[in-house]
Formats: sequence, structure tokens, C-alpha cells
Amino acid sequence: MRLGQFAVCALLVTIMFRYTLNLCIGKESMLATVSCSVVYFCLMYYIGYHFGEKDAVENGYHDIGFRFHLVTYIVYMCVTLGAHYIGWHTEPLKAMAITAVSWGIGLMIHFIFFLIARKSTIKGYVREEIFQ
Amino acid sequence: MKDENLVIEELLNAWEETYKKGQLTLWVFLALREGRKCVEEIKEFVERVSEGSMSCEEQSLYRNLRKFQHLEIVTYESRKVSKGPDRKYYYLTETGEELFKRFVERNILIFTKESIINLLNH
Repeated sequence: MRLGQFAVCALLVTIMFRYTLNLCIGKESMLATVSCSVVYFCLMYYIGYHFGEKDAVENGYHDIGFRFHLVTYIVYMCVTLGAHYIGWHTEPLKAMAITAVSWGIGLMIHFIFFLIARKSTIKGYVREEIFQ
Repeated sequence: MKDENLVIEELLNAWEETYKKGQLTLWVFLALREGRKCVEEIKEFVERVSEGSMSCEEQSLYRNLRKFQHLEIVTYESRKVSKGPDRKYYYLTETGEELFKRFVERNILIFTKESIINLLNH
């Protein structure tokens, strides 16, 4: 449930980000482009933290934030590609591919940590917390 | 004597706090073994049958039941009520029944041994 709410928020924020970025790139303002990206990163981090914390309290599910990271990645890539194909000012496809691969590597590393953390859980729940 | 009683009372409270932490699951399972129940009925059962020694918040019960549901220990059926949304009636799955049975065999039945009962009543 919280993951779904997060996905909706992530989608809205990412669309707003892409639209703003579209304007910044159109005006060729490096400062605005970087500021916009930093604000987007901070906002997404805060939203992920907010919903992730609620999810942990309500469900006790222990995934070290991997599902939220994965959703962010998918939403970002879909919106970015969508923005490119509907004709917004976006970075070139090559730059998008570099982002996808480098972020993808980060996601893979997160996935490995997730698998390690999962070993000490039962179906995603920390053993010591199941019957508390 | 008064001071000693105070210390005993404090120690008792501390022991009970620790002891009860893991007890809720057992009471919830007992409630569900009696029959399918909604959260309000589980809460009422726990407080009544434990003679007030256990109390629980509905929110905490919902959280635990949701967790048990994901772990396939507990499931529910929806029943229509005259007002408001359908109510969830929880019950133990086969896994839940087996888990309860094994837990009781390992941890509870020991207290029904005559030697232990004698010590408890000593």
C-alpha cells in the first residue's frame, strides 16, 4: 500500500521534474538544470524515506529500501523516455543510456545487499520482530 | 518491609513487561482457535480470558495480523455487516495450526507436568 502511494508520488514528482528540466534545458541554463536535479534528488529521497519508514512501522517488512529504489528507477526511466519521445527537451539518448547503466549498476549493488539482508529474515520479516 | 515490597513490585513489573512482550501471539492464536474473529473480538477475548493481565491496542493487532497474513500463518474471510465496509474475520491457516501445535508442545505443555505443577504450587 505504501509502496503504491510512493509510486504515485514518485510519478507526479518525476513528471514535474522532467517538465521543469525541459524548460531549463530549453533555456540552456546549467545552473537551473543542476539546481533542478538536486531538488529532485532531495525530494525523492525525502518521499522514499517518508513512505519507507511508514511501511516499515506498519508492515515490519525488511528490504533495506530496495523496492522503493527499484520503483524510483522504473518511474524515472519511463518518464524520461516518455518525455523524450513526446518531444520535450531532454538529454540525448546516449546520456540517458549512461544514466540507465550507471544507476542500474547502483541498483544491482543495492539488490545484492538486499539479498544478503534477506538471508536473516523469514519472508522479508526480521526473525526477532515477527512475534514481538 | 515496605521498601522490600516496593522493590519486589518494581521487579515484578519489570519481569512482566519482558514476559508479556512475546505473549500476545499466543493469546491471539488462542482466540483464533476458539473460532473466527474480527479484531475487536480478538481484543475482547484476550482481555477477558487473560483476566485483564494482557491488554492490546487494536492498531497493534491489525499490524500483527497483517504480518501473520503475509507469512501465511493467518488468513481471513470478509463478512458483510449492516453498516460500513465488510469486516475481516481472521482464522489460522494449516501452517498456523501446525505452528501453534508445535509451539505448545515445546513450550507450554511442560507446565502441565506434575513435577512442575508441584513446584508452581509449592
